[in-house]
Amino acid sequence: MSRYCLVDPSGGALRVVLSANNGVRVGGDCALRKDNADLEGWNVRTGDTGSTTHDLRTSPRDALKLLLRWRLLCCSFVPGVDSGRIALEVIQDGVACPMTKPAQWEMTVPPCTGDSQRPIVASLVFAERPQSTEDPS
Amino acid sequence: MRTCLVLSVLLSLAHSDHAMAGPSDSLVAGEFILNYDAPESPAFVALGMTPANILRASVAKPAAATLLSQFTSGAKIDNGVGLDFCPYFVFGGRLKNIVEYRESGWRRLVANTQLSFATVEDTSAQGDLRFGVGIRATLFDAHDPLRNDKLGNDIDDALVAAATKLPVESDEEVLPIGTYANLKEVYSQARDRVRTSPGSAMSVGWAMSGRLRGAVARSDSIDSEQHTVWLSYRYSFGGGLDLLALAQTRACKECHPTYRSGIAVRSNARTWDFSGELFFDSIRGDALSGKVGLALNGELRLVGGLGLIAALTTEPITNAGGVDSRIRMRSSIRWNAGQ
Repeated sequence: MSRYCLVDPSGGALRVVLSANNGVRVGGDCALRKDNADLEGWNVRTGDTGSTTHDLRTSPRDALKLLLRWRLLCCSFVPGVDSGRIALEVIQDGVACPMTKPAQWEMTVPPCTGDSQRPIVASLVFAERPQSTEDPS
Repeated sequence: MRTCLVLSVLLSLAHSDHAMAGPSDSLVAGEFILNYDAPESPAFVALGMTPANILRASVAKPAAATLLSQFTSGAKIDNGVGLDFCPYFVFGGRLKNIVEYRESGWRRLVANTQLSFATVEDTSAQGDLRFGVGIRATLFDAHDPLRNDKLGNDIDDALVAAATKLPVESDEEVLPIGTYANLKEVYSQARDRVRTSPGSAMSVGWAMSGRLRGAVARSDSIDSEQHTVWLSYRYSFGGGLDLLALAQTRACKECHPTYRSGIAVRSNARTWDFSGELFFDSIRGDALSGKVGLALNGELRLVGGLGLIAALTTEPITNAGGVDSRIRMRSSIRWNAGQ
């Protein structure tokens, strides 16, 4: 099922926020795609703070109908911890944009010392937020 | 018989853990970091059966099991088994992020607090079982892997580079766990940096030992209760040379306390370490009278989180003629279960 992220085309710039709790380390890449090519691409790493942000250069109006995709690898840095929550949000004007399907995952994560990682491959499409404030999902 | 059964179970688990890691010529990324500088089991400290007399001050490992054999000149062989674990994460403790761990001294203290349980066959009294329980907390450790900025950054770099191997799209969003980033070298380099860099550590512990008469766990079947408290310190000069120090006291209800203090010099290599110890054991009731002891001990770190430890030490004994010394030899196998 496709995931739609509802944005205000007339609103402020879009900020992509990736977060991970519990000392889970996440690294990978994101890209905003247009016509099967990357319009913007950047690497992501949640690091020691557990969070990273990226402000899209593409305006909200130009981002409509474009695909934002991400590929992530996750491992647990803290001995004894085997799970975590990874989430991706799009923030506009200080408020998280509603999504038809949440981009967050609670899952088991292997230890970084164990030489294996948990991958996440997902995407969303930007769509215009309707005037109604109903929950889109 | 019981010891052999436990040993065979531990060895088979260690073998399966190593087998899952991949080809036989590659080592699991974290086995050196897990095995490096693992502290002694607090419960065995209470029982007076640790291979080393000068205890380590390093942060505890998440979970470890130890099999121990002791031979004292003129006595029988004692065998024991111990289990150690850090309960914070096991019982639901969580972190917001690594920065929280690094900035909160209390959270680090709780996360690195270790519980320990051990039993030893009592060859002097058939049917009885000696037991030990203990708790140990690390006040600080400059070599704590979670405080290693470069290790975290290197892991991130490896994850970012390896994520390009993933498909651009997938029917399933969460894919099966697999090996994409090679973190073996990252951890190997981190371990070498830690081993050869200066820094100190300090830990404090308390443990209790006793004897269960008839090996029956009832409050009225416990005797010979004894409490041990210790403070251990390590200073790493860098280049793989460490200085260890210990202050310890042991007491029971109806006896005067004894004191132990000492230092050790330890040489650390990638797969082994070797220590020479000099310590003083007081006699009961007189902290300034006692016997000086010497010891040598070494550890060989194997694959699968296994470590082999052997020790040769002098041990004071009190007899009609005063305080004398005898030789004690101990060996143990420790398995760091990791996560």
